[in-house]
Amino acid sequence: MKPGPVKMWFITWVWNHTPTCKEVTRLASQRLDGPLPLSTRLRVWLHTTICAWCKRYLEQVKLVRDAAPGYADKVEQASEKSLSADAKARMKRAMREKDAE
Amino acid sequence: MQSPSADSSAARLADPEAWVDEYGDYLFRYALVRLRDESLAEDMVQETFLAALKSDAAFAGRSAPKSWLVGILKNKIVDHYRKASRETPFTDLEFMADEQSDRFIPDGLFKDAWIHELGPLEWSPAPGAGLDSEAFWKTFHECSGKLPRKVARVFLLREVDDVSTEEICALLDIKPNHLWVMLHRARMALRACLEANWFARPEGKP
Repeated sequence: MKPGPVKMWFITWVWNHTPTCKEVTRLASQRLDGPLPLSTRLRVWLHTTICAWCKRYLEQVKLVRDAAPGYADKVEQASEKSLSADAKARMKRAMREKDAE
Repeated sequence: MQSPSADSSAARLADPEAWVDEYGDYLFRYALVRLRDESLAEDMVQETFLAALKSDAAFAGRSAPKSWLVGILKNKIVDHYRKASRETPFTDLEFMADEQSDRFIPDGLFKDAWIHELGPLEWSPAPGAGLDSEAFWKTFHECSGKLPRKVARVFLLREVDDVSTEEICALLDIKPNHLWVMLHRARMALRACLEANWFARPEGKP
């Protein structure tokens, strides 16, 4: 369904006074590394009132950021790579030699 | 009298060579995702064990050798990054050019708005579900593995190891502006990959 004229006017007005979606994705990243100025935060928020996609984007990059630290421990489950028996034997030998010094 | 299991774990810790069997694979995987070079990762793990042996006395009495060892390994990897950044300039130019621009409207009144069909999807059933599952981390592992090597390095330092942007810039000798661009592209690419392979899979999650 096409939005009515008032709604269309509102959407266009907000669009013209807020960052583009592409800019919002950049700001979504920047705000994970430090606080954005208040005026920028307000304009991003205003943008999300007309844009469900950016609203999702902001939530989703935050969700990925919050999950990411878990990877440090979970790498054990996530990866199937292992040291070869040779490599392990070599390490033990190196440790024995070092210990004998 | 101690229980047999406490006895044997004490004996294990007392024998540094047993560290190799106990923690070797974990350390290897940890190093490999950060270095993407098997022989280099192996060297780093070996150096970690040797350094651990040297400071064995410092370890005495600690109960978590795993986090102690990973701490040593982390420093070795950071030293390697520092050395490598002096030898080759860091910025990954090829990746810089890609901002998933084809997902945005190219011109007109709504230039740079999401093309609706290509915008972020609803993540269902509920964002956050199943993030502790092995399958999710396999997906995460594959997605971060698709990032270009240097971009992945920046991403892991920032998001997984929680290193500050200032420290990363100093460590890798890159300008803040380049770091921001790389982090933005990495987050964008990872979000899209997780969406396609985990959060919005039509057949549902395993």
